[in-house]
Amino acid sequence: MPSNETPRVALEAVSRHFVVHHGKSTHAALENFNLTVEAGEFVAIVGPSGCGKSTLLDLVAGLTRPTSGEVSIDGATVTGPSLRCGIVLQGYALFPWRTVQENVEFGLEVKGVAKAERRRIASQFIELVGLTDFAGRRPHELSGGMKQRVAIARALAFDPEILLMDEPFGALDAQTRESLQEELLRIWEQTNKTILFVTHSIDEAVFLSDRVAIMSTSPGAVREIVSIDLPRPRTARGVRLSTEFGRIRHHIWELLHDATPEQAGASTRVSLAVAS
Amino acid sequence: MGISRYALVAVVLVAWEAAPRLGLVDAGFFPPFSAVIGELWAQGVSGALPRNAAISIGRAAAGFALAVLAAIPAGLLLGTLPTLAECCTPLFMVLAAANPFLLFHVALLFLGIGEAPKITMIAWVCGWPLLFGSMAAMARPDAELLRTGRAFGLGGWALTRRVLLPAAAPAIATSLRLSAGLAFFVLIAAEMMGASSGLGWLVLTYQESYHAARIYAAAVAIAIPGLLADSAFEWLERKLSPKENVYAIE
Repeated sequence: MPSNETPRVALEAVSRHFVVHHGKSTHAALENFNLTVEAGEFVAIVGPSGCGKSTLLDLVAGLTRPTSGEVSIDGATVTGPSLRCGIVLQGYALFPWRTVQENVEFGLEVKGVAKAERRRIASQFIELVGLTDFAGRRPHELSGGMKQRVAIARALAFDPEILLMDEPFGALDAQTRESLQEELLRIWEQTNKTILFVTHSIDEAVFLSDRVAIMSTSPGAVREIVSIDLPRPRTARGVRLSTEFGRIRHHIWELLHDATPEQAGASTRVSLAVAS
Repeated sequence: MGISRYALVAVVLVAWEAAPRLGLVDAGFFPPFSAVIGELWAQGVSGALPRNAAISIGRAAAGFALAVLAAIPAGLLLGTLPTLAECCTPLFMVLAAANPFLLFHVALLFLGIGEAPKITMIAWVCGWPLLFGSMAAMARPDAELLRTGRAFGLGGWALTRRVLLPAAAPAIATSLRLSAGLAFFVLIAAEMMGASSGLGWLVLTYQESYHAARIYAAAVAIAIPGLLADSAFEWLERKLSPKENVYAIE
């Protein structure tokens, strides 16, 4: 068992550089990135496009290795993908040749769980996301919101400690998005997972999480971490209209907006003036 | 759908029947449809059509099977080995562009007269779309599916078996369908160039005896297995790549 001092996920001075232009230069997606996430915590990461948010999740999932620094789960360095993380992507990434049931069973199959047990566990998680009547359907027969519910069930069914979510609700309409946000909170409270949730939406980040990490861009680093002390359990009606919600949202908005565009624009103008 | 799907076919058949009977076209070159059906029946009963059709289908199937066995594994393998694929592709492009009817004569030199050169020629022509199709399907997997599969800790053969191959299957079914059509196309040419049996050869003998109605009858006999193969692979294709959001809810 990890001691109380060992965080579930720790990123220490992590940099990730990519070789671009056929090896002629490198792009720093992340530079000296630091973040720790406690077990059972819900942490959202917001930042402008291209600030390395997806790279961050890939590092925790073990899909890519840091150029320098260390990524660890429960104190052990991440060296490659493992079944400790479930992943949910914006485009659902369901296997189109599998039914809802078979998609949810995927991680259990990889884990080597026996067939009857697989069926039982998958059915539980399909019920958890409210799709019991659709277990036999294929992904193309489902709406976007239903597909994302399947993806969440698939990511949870094999019982990983950590759920990595990469703009999971970004492709959904506003109403479906709100209902899935509430559903995710309910599922999180029932399952005690640690969630790292990447999003563009400040609203979504504040509504869902315990803490919001605001990223700066090029290269990506943590600009500030804001604790969200809104009471739980949270509902859209109770939280979104509160003055506290508005205050935090405004604070994060200001951080994001003076983080990059204007400053970057100003410095570009200056350098152009010098160049001409 | 329904009746309207077949309306145009019916109109063409009626016109086919009427034109020679009304003297609009020469019945010697263009016999009425009923005469073609009559010949189809007569040649069917006499055994000439079924016997030669069976031989032809056997050749098409053998050539196609050979192509599937050689080209699909090669394509799947090359699809996962980008460097090797890059080396081989230019050569394959040249070979695929080589005219199979000229190559047939080279095959005759090496393989002699008999079944081998015909089957080889069919396999040769059928193989390229299968090779390129399966190669492309494996080489460009859906990035999100790949990311998901890897996030589940899969790599190597496990990733190939559970994610890459099923993801490539619809594209492979499409190349199978294309290739099956080519098999019947090349078959007839091969049988006309050097054979003493099969539907292609039968058409030649009918032509030499000026039997227009029998030529059309043979053409119908060739079309049937071709259409059946096409429908079978079309079914497979549809089964493997269902249309997006047909029954969308919400």
